[in-house]
Amino acid sequence: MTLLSSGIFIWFIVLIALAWLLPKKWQVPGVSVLTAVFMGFYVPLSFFILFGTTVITYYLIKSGRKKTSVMLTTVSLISAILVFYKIQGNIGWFQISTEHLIPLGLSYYSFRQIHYIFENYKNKLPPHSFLDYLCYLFFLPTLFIGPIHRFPNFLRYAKRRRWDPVLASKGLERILYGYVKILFIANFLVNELFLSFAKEVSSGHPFLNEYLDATRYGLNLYFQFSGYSDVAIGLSLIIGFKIIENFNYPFLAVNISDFWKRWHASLSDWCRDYVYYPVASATRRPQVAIVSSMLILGLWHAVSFQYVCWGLYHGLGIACWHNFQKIKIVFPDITNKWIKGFSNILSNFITMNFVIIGFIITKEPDMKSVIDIVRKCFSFLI
Amino acid sequence: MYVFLLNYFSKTVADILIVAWYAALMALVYLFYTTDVADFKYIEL
Repeated sequence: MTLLSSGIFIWFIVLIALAWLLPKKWQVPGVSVLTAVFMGFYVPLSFFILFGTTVITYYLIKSGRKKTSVMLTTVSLISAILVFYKIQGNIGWFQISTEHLIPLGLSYYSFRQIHYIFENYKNKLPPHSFLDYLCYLFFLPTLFIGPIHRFPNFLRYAKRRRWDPVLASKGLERILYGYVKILFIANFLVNELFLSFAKEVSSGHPFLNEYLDATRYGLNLYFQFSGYSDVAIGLSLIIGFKIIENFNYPFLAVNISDFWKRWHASLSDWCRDYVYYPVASATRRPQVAIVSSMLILGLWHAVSFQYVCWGLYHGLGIACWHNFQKIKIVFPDITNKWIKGFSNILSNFITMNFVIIGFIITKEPDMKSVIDIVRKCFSFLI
Repeated sequence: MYVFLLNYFSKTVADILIVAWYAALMALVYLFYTTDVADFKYIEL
């Protein structure tokens, strides 16, 4: 079963029916029950992990014990489970083809739980019950692939939602756009047409070949990931929830900091709130906080040396950009619109190349292959 | 999308265009439908 299997649509239809046809007070819990059934049916391990950690974290937090120690214990517990499964996936304790290698949605609901724990610690959560928290985590539309939406926003819509045909039609439109992105743009245009074009023009040119392959990888990632996000956001809209956006034309970014505000924004926001701000306030060194948050962002994808390098690469990129901003203020502002336009195009070109080169680190199966590619690309220098 | 079209065309033309637009998109999904998409490892199924 994948998000593209025809069987998934039956679950979607039942979800929409439960979200609107049940008595009002059972509609959102009904969605959660369906999510639990779905998880129990396809990935029971994930169901037990999610349910177990939800109960443990909620009742530990509400136990009234010392807040800091409870916060640290619960965050450590969630992080330990996440890291355990991520490491298993990477060092091959299980076969890669195993369907339940990393429990469904673990990366997403772990970060949602940590968000809940931190916000509770800061006393920033609105009044709510255990059922509200359970419904927030057992929410089928965002279970697969995010976005990592926030609890206060979820609770607001859970309480205010009512049938709105405009919202529902927007949701259907988003789902359609999502599937067009996944099936037509990513799968056909990028992975078939662009791939054959790239192979044709780059034969005999190792640098161009790797560059175009990294570009294809990045485009495929963007269109698939944003397509799945569209499906999740669209489905949420149909059942009356407005979920935060995950992508905002990242390939139009004019600097690397801007790129991370546009690419997987819900994860970037999470890292900003729960890694960058705490580290920056503890160390008083924003550059250290930037690198730390990008490192966590990298490790969230996979606990591996490759993703450590990728996180550091982006972290150092953003840190350099921030330093450049300090130098930039000594130069006069560009007022000519043509020069400004050219400067934006050049900035976009540099940013995109930085991102594309970064994709080489993650697209290869191991670090040795990455080094081989870099060596191959720059063989003309040796 | 429909609101966007209404800014530039009359209601009748916008109605026709929006139906054509959705029909074209649905046709694309139908024609290119496959479960065999290129690897995307963020899906943890």
